[in-house]
Amino acid sequence: MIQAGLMGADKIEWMNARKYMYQLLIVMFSTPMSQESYSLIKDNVQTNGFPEEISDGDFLKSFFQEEESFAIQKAREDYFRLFVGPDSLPCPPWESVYRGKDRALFDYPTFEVRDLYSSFGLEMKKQEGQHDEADDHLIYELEFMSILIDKVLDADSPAEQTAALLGQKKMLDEHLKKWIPDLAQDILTNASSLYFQGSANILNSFIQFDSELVNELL
Amino acid sequence: MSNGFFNELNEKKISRRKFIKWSGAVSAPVVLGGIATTGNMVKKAGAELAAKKADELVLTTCSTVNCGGRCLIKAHINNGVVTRLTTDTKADTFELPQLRACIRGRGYRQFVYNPDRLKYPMKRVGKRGEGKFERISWEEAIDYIAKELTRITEKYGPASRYSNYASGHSGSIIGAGNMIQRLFGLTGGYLGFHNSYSSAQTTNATPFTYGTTQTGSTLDNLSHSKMIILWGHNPVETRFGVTDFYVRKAKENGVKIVVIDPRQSDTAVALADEWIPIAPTTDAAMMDAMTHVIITENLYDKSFVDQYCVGFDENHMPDGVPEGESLKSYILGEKDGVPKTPEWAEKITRVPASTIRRLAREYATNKPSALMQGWGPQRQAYGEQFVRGGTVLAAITGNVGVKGGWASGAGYISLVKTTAVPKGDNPVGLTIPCFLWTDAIVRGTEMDAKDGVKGLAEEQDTLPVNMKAMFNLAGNTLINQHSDCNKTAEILSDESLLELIVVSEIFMTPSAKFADILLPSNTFMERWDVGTTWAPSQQAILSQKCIENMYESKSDYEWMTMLAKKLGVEQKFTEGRDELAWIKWSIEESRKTDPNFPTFEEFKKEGIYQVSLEGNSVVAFEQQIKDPKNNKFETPSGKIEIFSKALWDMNDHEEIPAIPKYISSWEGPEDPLTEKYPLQLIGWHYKRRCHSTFDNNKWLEEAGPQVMWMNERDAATRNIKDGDRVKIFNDRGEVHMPVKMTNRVIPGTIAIPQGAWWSPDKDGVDQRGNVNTLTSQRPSPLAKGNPQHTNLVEVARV
Ligand code: SF4
Repeated sequence: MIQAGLMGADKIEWMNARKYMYQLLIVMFSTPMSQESYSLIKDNVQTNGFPEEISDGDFLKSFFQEEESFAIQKAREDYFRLFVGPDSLPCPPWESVYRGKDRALFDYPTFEVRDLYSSFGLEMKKQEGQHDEADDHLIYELEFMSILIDKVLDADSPAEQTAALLGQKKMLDEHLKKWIPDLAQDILTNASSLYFQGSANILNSFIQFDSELVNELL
Repeated sequence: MSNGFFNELNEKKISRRKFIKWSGAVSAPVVLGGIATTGNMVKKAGAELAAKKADELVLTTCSTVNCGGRCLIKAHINNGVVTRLTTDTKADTFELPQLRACIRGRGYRQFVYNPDRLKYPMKRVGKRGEGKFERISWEEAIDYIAKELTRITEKYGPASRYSNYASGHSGSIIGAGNMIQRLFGLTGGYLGFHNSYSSAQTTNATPFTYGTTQTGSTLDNLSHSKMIILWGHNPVETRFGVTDFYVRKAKENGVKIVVIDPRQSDTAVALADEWIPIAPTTDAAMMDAMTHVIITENLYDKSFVDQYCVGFDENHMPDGVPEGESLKSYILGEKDGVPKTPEWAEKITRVPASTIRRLAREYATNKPSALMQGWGPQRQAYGEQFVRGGTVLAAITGNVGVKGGWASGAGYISLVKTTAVPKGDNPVGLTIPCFLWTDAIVRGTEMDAKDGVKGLAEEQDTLPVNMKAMFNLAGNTLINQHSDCNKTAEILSDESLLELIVVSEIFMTPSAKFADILLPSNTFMERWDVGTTWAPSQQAILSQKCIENMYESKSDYEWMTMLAKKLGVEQKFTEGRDELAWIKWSIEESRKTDPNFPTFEEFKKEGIYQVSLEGNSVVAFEQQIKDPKNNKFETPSGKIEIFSKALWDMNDHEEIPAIPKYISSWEGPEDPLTEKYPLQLIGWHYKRRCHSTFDNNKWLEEAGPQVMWMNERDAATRNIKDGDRVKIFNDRGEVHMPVKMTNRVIPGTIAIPQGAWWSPDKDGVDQRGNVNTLTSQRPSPLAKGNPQHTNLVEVARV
């Protein structure tokens, strides 16, 4: 259990480690790979630092052994093919698509996570003349996790801390855990770059692990 | 990291090794450009944390995809999101039928919120047709289009610019194709088109009999008929407005219903008392034989024919035509020695002579009766003969202009008229038949009046230039719905021919793959328009903008306004109006001629303007028959022209006869090519799609998988079993798809539902089942229409 009132340095360190993991996932899935993100990941990620049984370290390790511009190009192409289009998307990164009955956006998970965001004073940015973005895009769910970890770190009271952890638990157990395994499987089946095979494994395993962890913390 | 924290955790549940690994995997913040978030998730504005649930908003809209139905759709909107759809729930009455959505309509949320929608403007980066694109901004896209358009116009002239026939968005006010033509018109002009892919043969041929295409009556008439013949008409699946509703009502009234179709369509199953299977392309032979029975057994309406028609017999012929050219002479074989008997027709049509004889007698003696023609059988090599044959049967039996009868032919009628945004003038003034656009790319400068080019000035023999700039907006006719996909792909891929292809689309269709610039279009729920059904039509529906544009999509009008600005004609193009302002303008225009047309406010409230048939029943040509002195037909003779002098003067009597005749078709059952390709192939409108729209809807695929129909006899001789994957091939291409064995299609003919998305593998073999891989680009003689149901093929197991 989290100690009332204070957090030890090691716990802060661990919360930060989790945050970095979410940041890594956000970088991996939110933009096509660039020179900048390539170096960022290469410099900050221990590619042999992941648990062995998921072998994702190997994918990433091999990826960073490929010729750089070739590797970046392949990861970029994969990113568009898997998540953006213009062709039919093999891995549409929205929870509603995986859990709703229509394989369409804006099904019930969108509204559930919208309510969850709202209970923490968050919402999707509105833009005049444009349809709202779907709240249950992979990136926003991950971003929510990262924001709530900050809330734990910045909390003024144990109650705030617990509330922020409960929010994470909800996102993990009621959302991420329910669809990430299927999404990751689709990515593994369809990705042609080592990068996204690695990323899919990291995403899936980390979500499973983090859910176990957060449940233990509470 | 120290283990102090970990010790707090239950080691049975969390593995220490995993914990250490995960906590050390990333050692520092991983943020791009110093920004940790996407910036799209923000603090809620205002203090109220609990989201205030706004009231649900219900707006009517109309599926302006090119479906004959255009049903009333009610979108239930919560906080800017369509959460649920319902449809027309008002009482269903004979005069005002309900406009309920079909199985496809229930999938509209899936259409709008489909993750596969095109999201950003794209520019081609690979070879044309390869399908490789890169995201660009709208500004870049518009810049590129403006520059290329200007360059092409300077180099080749405005007649090199073309907007392709497209019907994916078929709102009646602000169609994309019309609007780009308006923009072309303001900047020098363009090559236009006439005809459609739906009804070219009937819209061209029908006026040679009646002087007009407006030959439809209101559908309440059908309940006054004694018999209804639906000839190649399948309103249950195609949804011609509410035709199926009124046919069903007639059936309930005891009217006998006969369906003539190579395939036992859902209409035949649901509504017919009798299904008469017929070999494709031979309809006119059966009509000739029915005429033979009616003439030789004296069942025709002599006084009607004498009074209202030209060309029935030698005594009623126009001047300047030699002996022996009347309908009667031809039917009795007086000149060619071939009487068009039912026995003669049986060999061609595979319809037993006794059936033809019986049907002819029933139709001629049960007056009034309605012979309603579908548009399928006119989409054949000599489809004009089918059209004219139907009108002549209606005329000689006296079924024209009477309640319960039906004039046959194109069948247009509209009780509700909407006003489209004007296209404006086209300084170039030239049009081609829309089916011949591929010809205009390859050999435009050879195309003349014989190819159906209209508007040529006296000293001008051919088109001045080949087509160079192509705008394909909201349509799949750039390849999928045009004939002969392989040939078309070859033409499009040659970047020295078309120098610019702009496509606007909702999905990555086969046509979109050939774009140089690919623009993401919004859907009908994101734009304003008004929907009207296929004829006979008695309603207009306000198709409201229910939600904002998804992703970076725009309506065609929105991006064209940007393009107009770039080309310096924004004010002339928009006249200061956005889409909504044009809708309001259009409504006011319509109200000038139809005071019952609702105001914008009324329209918005009701969502629909549906005219009751009570007191509004129309019988086509009623006046011409009741009071012929004062009401002439709009033909040159003022009468119904069984024999058309205008056709005679075209001087191509073999292929464009002056009376309707059976013409043995190329790639018909009598073509020697049957030795190599013994099976006839037709397409049909499948209930799981609307043309090619919705082919990517996986849920509808379960409801209606893409299969080819084949008669059990034809399957047995080829050792094919139900469910086998087979290859269907001819000299134009090859398709692989599963087969369904059935007795619902006449032996010797196979049927592939049209509209599947062409999916060639690396050897060019279509793997999805697109019928147009196998169809021909050879046009029909008079209309220059598409001959989609005229194909010979062979089938074998893969
Ligand atoms: S597809 Fe046609 S018939 Fe079906 S709901 Fe839409 S408009 Fe109506």
